Amino acid sequence: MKPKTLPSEPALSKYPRIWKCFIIILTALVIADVSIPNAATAHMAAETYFWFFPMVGLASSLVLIFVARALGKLLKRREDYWEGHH
Amino acid sequence: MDFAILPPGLILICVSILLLVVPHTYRMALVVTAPLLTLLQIWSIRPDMALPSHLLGYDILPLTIHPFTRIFSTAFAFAALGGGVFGLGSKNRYETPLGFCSAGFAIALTFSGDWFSFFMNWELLAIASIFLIWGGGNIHSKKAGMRYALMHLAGGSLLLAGIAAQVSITQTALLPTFQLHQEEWIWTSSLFLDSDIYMDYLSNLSIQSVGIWMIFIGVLIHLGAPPFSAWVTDAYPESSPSGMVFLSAFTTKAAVFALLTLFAGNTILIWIGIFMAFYGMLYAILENDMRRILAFSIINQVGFMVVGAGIGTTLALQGAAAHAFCHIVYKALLVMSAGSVLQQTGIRRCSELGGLYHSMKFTTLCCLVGALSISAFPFTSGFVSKSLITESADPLIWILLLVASAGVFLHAGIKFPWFVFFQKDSGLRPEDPALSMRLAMGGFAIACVLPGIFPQTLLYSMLDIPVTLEVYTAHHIISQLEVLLFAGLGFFLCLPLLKRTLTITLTFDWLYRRPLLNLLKTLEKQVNKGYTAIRNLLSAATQRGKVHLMRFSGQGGMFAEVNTLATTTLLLTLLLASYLLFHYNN
Repeated sequence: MKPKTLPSEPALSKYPRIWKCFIIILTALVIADVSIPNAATAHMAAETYFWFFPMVGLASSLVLIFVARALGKLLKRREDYWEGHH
Repeated sequence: MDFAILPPGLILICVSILLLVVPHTYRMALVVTAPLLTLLQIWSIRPDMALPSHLLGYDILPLTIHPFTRIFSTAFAFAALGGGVFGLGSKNRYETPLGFCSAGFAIALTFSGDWFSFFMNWELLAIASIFLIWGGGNIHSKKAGMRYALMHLAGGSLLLAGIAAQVSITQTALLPTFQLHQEEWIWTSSLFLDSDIYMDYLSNLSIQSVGIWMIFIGVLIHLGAPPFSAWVTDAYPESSPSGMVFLSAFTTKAAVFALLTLFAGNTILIWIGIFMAFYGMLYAILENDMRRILAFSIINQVGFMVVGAGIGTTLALQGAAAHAFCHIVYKALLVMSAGSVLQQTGIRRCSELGGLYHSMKFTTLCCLVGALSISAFPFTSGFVSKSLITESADPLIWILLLVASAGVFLHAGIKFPWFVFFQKDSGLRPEDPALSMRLAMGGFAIACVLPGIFPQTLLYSMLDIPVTLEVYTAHHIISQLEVLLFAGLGFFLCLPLLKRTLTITLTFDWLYRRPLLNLLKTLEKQVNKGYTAIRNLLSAATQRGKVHLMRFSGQGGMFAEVNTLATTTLLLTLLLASYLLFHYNN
């Protein structure tokens, strides 16, 4: 089955409603985190700060993407790399 | 005869033979009833039903119950059911029987109480898997199957050598077993790698310590732990859509079972597991092939289980076993949804897919459930099982697992469904797959959610000891959602950086597919040269010998002359006289 059309890849910013909902949910989560104490079950002191989990999520995501890109420069090859080399 | 005392897995193995001969109409009944009967059998076997026997002078126990036998064998039976129903639409007649064989051997493995039955089931599972890979039916699957066979031959050989050393030293063929305790986990006779006993072994460098390391490496190869991980991403994606459902469930999870039974509590496993989790994740982010993304994701998820095995507390081991169960279900669901896309479009590359939610609504929904479950979203099975592992870790391991969880959401939770079903519209409008495939996906989607909502009844009840941790606290739910959704924010912010390219990514298999292969080719050339030189030398020597021989026995030679009777008699007399003289002197 051949693709009928191949339009340019749309960014999520083209869907402002989805972005708005997403930001509202994220804000609500941070507010909920502030309102629920967790000192008793904390694994480390920093965990008690409201920004800890959002920062871990966002920073992990960004770091992993950049590390993957750096690795990609080293490890990515053309799809036919193995052809004729089995 | 008691139904429960039949060798576990035998029903599936027998039915796999039946499936080859019965008409298609009866196949559905067999495909559904055989795994259900197996499940009934698994839960009917009691610990006092052990079947002690003798082989080659050793006591053997082909039927015994380890602490995690039930949860693993139940998961394997479920995978057989799901794979069987999903494969009903497949044209390949051999695939479901081979999948059932794999399930049968994997189940029998979890009940093995001795090295003989353990090794036999281990190898038969690997052999059945090779045929499942070849079921892909193209040149790539044949070659990948051969590489898989070579890798598992190496792993099996190491395992066999290790077992031989272990049995010869300990003079027992029974598997070492451990027991779980509510308060504190203790070993009874588990194999050690980094305990005092292991250090003692290592300092003496005894055959037993070498044997244990060989068993350990053999298990790691089956586990797909780097640097032995390439076979997972090389072979699994080359199998057929339903073949990969079976493959994703058995081999690596059988190895996790072996790890939990034989090597639990060895801290080296924590770091192996962390490496696996990050390795699988980073490669999955780079990958363009949707089935290879899922294959890398298997390595990533098995990493979490290995960490649990390494931590070694009761809670961590329970978490590892529960995570294996949940992983088999949600990974099968994701593999089914990818298989449905492959079957309906014939395309595996994410760069050529997108916008399929327009026409494959049911598949999209099932894929999203699987994606949420693998990402450990609250109220899914993955959330419960992953929490058991992370909550038993110390702060450093806990934070690493938290980062890894964000990474899982990145590659399997968002990237896979986003690029396949959403993102740009590829213009493809395939329909949802056949009814049997939809039934399998729907059933597994429910199985991803229900254990997440009722973990006590549907997950913890399969573990020998009650789970004490309460995972559904307000803070845990909110913190998990924060980590995942902020990771999602990072994904969408960096979306332009994740542009899909028509590339592959080199893994550890490069080492044996390029430098090692070139080395072997060079060696082969040198050996051929040496062989030719020796052959020429021998040929020349033979020619020279022949010429000398012809001087005596050829035409006109001494021995070719016709002698008189008197000359012959004289020669024989001289020969006998010399013999007598020689004999007399001695």
